[in-house]
Amino acid sequence: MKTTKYIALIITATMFFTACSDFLSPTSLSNFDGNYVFSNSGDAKKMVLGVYALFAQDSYTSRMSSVWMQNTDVEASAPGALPDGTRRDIWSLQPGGLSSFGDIKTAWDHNYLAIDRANQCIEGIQKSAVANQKDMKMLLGESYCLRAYRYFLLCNFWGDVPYFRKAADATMQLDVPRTDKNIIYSGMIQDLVNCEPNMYFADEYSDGIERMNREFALGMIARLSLFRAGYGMTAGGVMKRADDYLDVAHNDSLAVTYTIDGVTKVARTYTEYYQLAKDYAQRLIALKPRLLNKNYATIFLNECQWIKPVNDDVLYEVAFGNTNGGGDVGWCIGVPVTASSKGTTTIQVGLTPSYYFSFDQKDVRRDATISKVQYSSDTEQGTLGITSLATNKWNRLLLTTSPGSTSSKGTGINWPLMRYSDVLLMLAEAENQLNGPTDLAKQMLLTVRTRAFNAVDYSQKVQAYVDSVSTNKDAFFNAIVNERAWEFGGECLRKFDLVRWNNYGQKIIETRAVLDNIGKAALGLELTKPEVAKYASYAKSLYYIKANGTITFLNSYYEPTTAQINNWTVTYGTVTLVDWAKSLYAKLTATDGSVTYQSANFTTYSWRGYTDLSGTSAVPYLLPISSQTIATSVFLNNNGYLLSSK
Amino acid sequence: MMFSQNVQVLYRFMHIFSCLLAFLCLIKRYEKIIHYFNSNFMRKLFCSLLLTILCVCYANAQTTVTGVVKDDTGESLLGASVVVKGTKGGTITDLNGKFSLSVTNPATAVLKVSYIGMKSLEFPLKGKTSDLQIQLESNSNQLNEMVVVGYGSQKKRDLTGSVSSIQGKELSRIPVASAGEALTGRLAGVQITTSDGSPDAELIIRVRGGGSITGDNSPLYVVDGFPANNINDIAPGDIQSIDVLKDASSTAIYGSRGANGVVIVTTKRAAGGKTTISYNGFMQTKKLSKRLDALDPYEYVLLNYENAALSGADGISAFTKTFGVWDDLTLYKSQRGHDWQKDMFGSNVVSQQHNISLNGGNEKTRFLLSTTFNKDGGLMPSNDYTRFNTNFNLEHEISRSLKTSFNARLSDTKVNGSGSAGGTYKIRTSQAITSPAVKGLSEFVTVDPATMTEEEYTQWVQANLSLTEQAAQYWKRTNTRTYNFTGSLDWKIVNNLVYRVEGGYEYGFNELKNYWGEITTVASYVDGKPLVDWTKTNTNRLRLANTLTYIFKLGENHNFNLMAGQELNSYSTNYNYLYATGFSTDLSPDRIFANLALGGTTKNITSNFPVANNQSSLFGRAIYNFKERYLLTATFRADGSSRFAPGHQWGYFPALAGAWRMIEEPFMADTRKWLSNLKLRVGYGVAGNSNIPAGQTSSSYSIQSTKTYGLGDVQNNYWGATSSQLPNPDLKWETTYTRNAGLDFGFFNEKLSGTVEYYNNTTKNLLLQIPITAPGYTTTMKNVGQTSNKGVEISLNVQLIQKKNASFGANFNIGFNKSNVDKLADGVNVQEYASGWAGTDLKGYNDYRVQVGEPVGLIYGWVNDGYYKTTDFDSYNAATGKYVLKTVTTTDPATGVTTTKTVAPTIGMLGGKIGVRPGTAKYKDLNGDGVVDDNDRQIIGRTAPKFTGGFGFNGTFHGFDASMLFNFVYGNQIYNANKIASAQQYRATNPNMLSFMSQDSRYTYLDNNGNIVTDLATLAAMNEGANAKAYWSPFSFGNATVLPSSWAVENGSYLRLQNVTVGYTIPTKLTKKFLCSQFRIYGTLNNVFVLTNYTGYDPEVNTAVRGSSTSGLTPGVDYSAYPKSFSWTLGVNVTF
Repeated sequence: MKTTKYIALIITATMFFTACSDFLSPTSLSNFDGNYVFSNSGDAKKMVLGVYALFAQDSYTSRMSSVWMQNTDVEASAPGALPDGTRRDIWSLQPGGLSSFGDIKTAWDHNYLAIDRANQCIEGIQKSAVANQKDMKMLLGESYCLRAYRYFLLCNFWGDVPYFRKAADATMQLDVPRTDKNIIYSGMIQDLVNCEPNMYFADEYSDGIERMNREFALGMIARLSLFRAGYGMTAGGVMKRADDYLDVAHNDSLAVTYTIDGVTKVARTYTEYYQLAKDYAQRLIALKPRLLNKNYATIFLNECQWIKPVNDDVLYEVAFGNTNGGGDVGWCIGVPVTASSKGTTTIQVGLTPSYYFSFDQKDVRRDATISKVQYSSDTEQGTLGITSLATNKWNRLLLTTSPGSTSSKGTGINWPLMRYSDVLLMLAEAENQLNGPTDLAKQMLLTVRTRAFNAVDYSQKVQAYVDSVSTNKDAFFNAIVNERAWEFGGECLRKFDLVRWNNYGQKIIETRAVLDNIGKAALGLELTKPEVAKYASYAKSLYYIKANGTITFLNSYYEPTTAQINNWTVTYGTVTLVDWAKSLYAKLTATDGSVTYQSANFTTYSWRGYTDLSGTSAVPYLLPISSQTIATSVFLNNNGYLLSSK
Repeated sequence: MMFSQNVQVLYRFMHIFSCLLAFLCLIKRYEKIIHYFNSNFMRKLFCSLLLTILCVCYANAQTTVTGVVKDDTGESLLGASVVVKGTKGGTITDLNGKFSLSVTNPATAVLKVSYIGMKSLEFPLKGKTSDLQIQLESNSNQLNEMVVVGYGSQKKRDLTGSVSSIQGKELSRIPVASAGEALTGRLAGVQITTSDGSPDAELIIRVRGGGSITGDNSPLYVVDGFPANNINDIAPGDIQSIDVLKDASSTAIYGSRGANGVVIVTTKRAAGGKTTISYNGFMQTKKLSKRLDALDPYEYVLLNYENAALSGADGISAFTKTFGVWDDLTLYKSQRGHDWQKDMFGSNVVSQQHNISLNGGNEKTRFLLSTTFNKDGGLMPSNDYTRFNTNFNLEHEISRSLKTSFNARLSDTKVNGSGSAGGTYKIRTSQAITSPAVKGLSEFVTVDPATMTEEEYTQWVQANLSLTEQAAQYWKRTNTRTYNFTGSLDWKIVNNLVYRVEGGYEYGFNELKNYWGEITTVASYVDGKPLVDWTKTNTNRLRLANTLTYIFKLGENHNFNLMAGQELNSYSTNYNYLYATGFSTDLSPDRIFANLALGGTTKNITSNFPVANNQSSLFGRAIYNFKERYLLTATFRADGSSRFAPGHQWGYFPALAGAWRMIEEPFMADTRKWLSNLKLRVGYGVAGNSNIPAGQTSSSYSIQSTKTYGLGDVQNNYWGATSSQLPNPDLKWETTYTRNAGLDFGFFNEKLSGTVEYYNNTTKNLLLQIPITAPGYTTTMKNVGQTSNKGVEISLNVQLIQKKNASFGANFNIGFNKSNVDKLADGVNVQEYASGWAGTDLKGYNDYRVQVGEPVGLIYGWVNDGYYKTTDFDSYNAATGKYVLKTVTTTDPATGVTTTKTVAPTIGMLGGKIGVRPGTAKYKDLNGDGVVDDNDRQIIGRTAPKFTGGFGFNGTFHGFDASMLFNFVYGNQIYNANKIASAQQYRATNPNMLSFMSQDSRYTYLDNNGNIVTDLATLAAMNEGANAKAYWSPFSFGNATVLPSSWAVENGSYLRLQNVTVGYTIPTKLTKKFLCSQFRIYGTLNNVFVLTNYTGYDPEVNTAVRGSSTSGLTPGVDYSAYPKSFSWTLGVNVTF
């Protein structure tokens, strides 16, 4: 019977089918295993791009890169009167209460995700059959650089943190206690020392300065060495160098072995780490010398216009694509634009008025760094108050491809992580620490400063200035501290520099005093005091004219004389003014007519969390570990590190 | 052998199978189909099928016998089958119940008369050939009802396990859009919650509480033998019966997947008989069933004036620009405010449903074709739900020993608009409260967007569009099409030995289209122009099951029913995703989707074929029955799942149950006059759960295309881990052990019947997504912990009157459940989870806990303690603007130790502009450390109900019928997050608030002259003592700070009159003239009233929110829920 035949067939087919054990181990056409993705450099690059991709997350673009790098003597934004449980408490140095602030958890998680991805890349590339290809070695080096950079962020934002050098798997101990940051720094430096010779310089491959290249690796060795030689917050809530509390002489995980010019050296003490920084800064200068870009502002204009020259000032910058809404430079940091054909900003990074006044009037970097204006259309400028100064280095209106009038984030402007002038100043600093203001140290400072002034001012503002600060080690160090402020304003390097120098508290106290004194001087108060009187000539107001929407300031630093003002009125007709130094102190009139004065809100609020008037104690700059993370760990907590909010 | 080959084998098998099932072939899309059509066999079969459908068969006439078939009430029966026993000849009764057929030998012939719902009757002719009066007895005795138990069915009287059932005819009398909705409140121990009132609201079905913690607690849905994700796409009218298997002795036959209960849906089968056409349809309109009161315009401007005044001169000047000067504010008393609830939920809704079904056939071939169109309107404009269903069933007897059936179920569902879709998504329904009552002097609020964060900007934009306009900015379409084909073949190899093969194939096409208008935040992140994304997901399900059933008797008293089987299930998906930006604002979303190439620079294409879920199973069941008195069922199932790594794939699930039909005992003989049923059942069984995402046991990479690195100013896709969870190769089955005892009873010939059951379930090795500390991972899946559910269920049925022209009955069910977390991971007693309703704005972030010794669903937060009073402060320092908290010295009476503390401040926690001053919301300093912070939280609410259930009444009187159905939930608490967000300024500029935040009932600082009062004595006079205010100042909280507090935890108990239906059936005598055998018209009111103390829109709420993978652990949140509606319905049921 025909049907019976079919039934027989069905049963046979069924039996045949069930016999297949692979039925329970299906595979997916969309999934690839670890062997495949490291089998060639094209796919391995896609793995490394996965580490880079975390730079495109908000946790980096508008948190760790910039908005959280406040408030210092350079970058600062004023929070409100009281802590509000958000990023503003980071600015005001009151992060202790933020353990349930989700952004902090996200940033922590993204750092570790990047580290784990980098660990997978390191292990995968090392195991790959083609590990010896030059491209693969480059990718391995990048993985080390990316891992080092993420640990650098972790150690600076959270202090001592869990340290993983292997990719996570379920068989490992995954919950581990904090490891001292100095051990992590040493480990990262050693990795970079080992991999750096196999990496490409930016001009040796096509991706240039948008990937972590050999010059960045060399610069990063110098930077990490300075941090290893410098100070950091300890669990006890005081700032210490490794040498102050760790057995640097015997603990091999605090040592780095390296060979330079055929000589093998071991760095253990902070002095040896200054030497290491010096050696690698010099190595970069020897291997890839270059002249600084003549025009300081061009460095940043290039970024706004997506131009990426090699062998120029920028060694590595984080690449944000024009597509997919990449990057927040020109949205949360940069010149404020309230409406334009190229979209709008929500600026959250400011610069302090004292920083503005700290510049030499002739220093071209001041106006390249600080914007006193904002835009309410493509061409219409308006003034910013003195406590709302913004970064002039990036401006979305300079974009050559418009992101659209209702655009906000996603400008595609790259973010510089290391510049050549940074390496020069690190060399100057390391050399000064080792040998005082030698010719080498002075030469580095001279090189950086030369670019900052017009040729006519060279002898006085550059040569004479450098000579004047080279009288002793301390004076030269102080000059380095100042020069780094002027050179890197708005690039958000300051916070961690102050930490490693252990002068964060001192700088806060100084800044507050300067702000008050300038304000008092502008209001004519306490002029008998020399520290106030010296600001008496500072501009109480700025005078400007506006033509075709563009503002031209007539004074920038000093209060004009009545004659000058009259003169301007004759020349320009209407002259407008905006309150300047006089906004830095507040005059209060009570209902009964009595008058009192107090610090401006900017001064009172900005560093609210630091109350030590001597400026000697540690600044509570570390972020708490998220309460969610702590809840899953037997080791992690927020004890110590000045994190207890009570 | 590779899996793909496996699939090919299965495909090939399906082809062979489809040869036998002609229509399956028609739909199959492979070229081989042509080959099959050309085959001789195929042609023959196809023709014969057509013939049998279209032709009516007559036997050769010899002697004609005529008669009429009636039911026990004397009503004639249409479509009753009349067959001459032992021959193939037969017929069907006509409209008047009359039949006529030929018989060879009237003297000895016996007629076999059968009708659905009636006991079959053998009627010996004894020579009589005309005017036969045959009366059938009703089969309504529930004990004889067949209950589907998985791979077979049993009479209810023979059951040993715990099964709740509902028949389709009960469902079809009440107009509802979905099967789940129809079940609400009807089955003991089965809790059905709709997440909210949107037309596509998710139905959450829990059988006996559900044992998993993170794992999916949904029961297994089996539709005509086929596993399904849900039962939303089945038209209620197509359902023959729904049977819910509740204990492991019944679910064990489904093994692994049965741990959370099994909901078996059987769609209507062809009944055969004379061809009938029926039409069922209804029209419905609805409106918002409850409104919440927001502040009126005057109160609204006063509130915002106070807010402005608290910010000082700048604030007032900004306020004045918007709303005018203080002295003029009284003008707002005469202004009518915007009714945003009307704007958002005031849509003119017309819903409708139409169903046409065609049923017919002869003795050998029966068919049923049913098509349903349903359109359910939403209260929100441009939000509705449309569904087409087609159900085709064909039953054919190939030969005496060979029967086949084929079923095709097609559904096409479209959802317009986003509704509320998960609380925080797109438009929030709380905006109907918080949107400004008036816009003040100008249409637009003058604020500087540059000063806002991205979220504030969005809020600002939203504040300046009507809610309807906003909804249009977030355009969304979902389309789900499911094509399901199943077929079976029963081969009676020898008498009582039946081999059955059933197989099926389901193809799903799902599309999700999103459009974001130019004024959305998403658009501002790209180029500020409209953008779209389009996700297409295809799903494939394959199933094949072979069973062998042998029923036999040993001697007189030993009855056996043995079944063994094997089954394969495979489920795979693949999807592709398109994304494009930069479209013109002039184009409608539909236009854009039809012309994606018009997009700007950014385009993104992704595809993914996730790993399939395969399961291979072997199972068997033995039922033994001694003298119909002692019943024993033993079940065993072995399941292998591809979701686990080799070595952990197989789970073994045995079950044993027994029942004692005491009523059959001789010693009970005396009681039978009044006791019609008494049965005791006990069972023990093991069931498993593997319902976790695939790919949790090993790591792999897939291409990622979001948030990529911008190297070279282009998008650089990268390899990323396929799963964001740390792979765990040791995962294994989660196992539920159930113990069940039940007593079935019936009195007075089942006029009163009922069941009482007790169960105690323990789930071990929970598949739990647990948070971990590990680099790169925050969670992993692990087998940890143990939960238990204990409970009692009672159902009662009363049939008080059962007469021809009148009937009255009532039913009642109630289920008590107590769940408990017995154990978590080693050393862990508490785990925290976040409902995520406010994202990271929520203080403490984690607002739910899972705690050993407690049920799941604990709300965790601060205990509200009113507000700070002037007596809490020493003084006000005008110079610093600070209030100085009082120092309190207390002496412990026991120890005599005195302690000095200040009144505990909430340092930096609330972030409100008023800081800590009289009127600031106050929370208890639970640990007494002098400050209120994260450490002062406790369990503030329990969301698990103590009991749930329902009751109903139904009656008929002549042609009239009426029914009422109530359902209730008792003892649960609801976390009214909507109330929190609508009683402060949350992420909005000048928001409105719920009416209890009026000047008279909130703490206020504003005196009659519009000045802010700081003096303690004046504040006390204004707000305390005789003028004591009920609420704190809403300015206690920052704009981005919300806090879970005991104040927002409310009693969620309710009693709802779910529906009232009154129908009238026109007497058949009349309708026959219009060729109708039945004509019923009815009207229904749905959601007539809710008795509750809950202050939100509706206590039946469970808004799934962000991070839904753990939403099962954060139940009972009411945030942005779509309000429920009250509806009126008019409908007809017609049979031709």
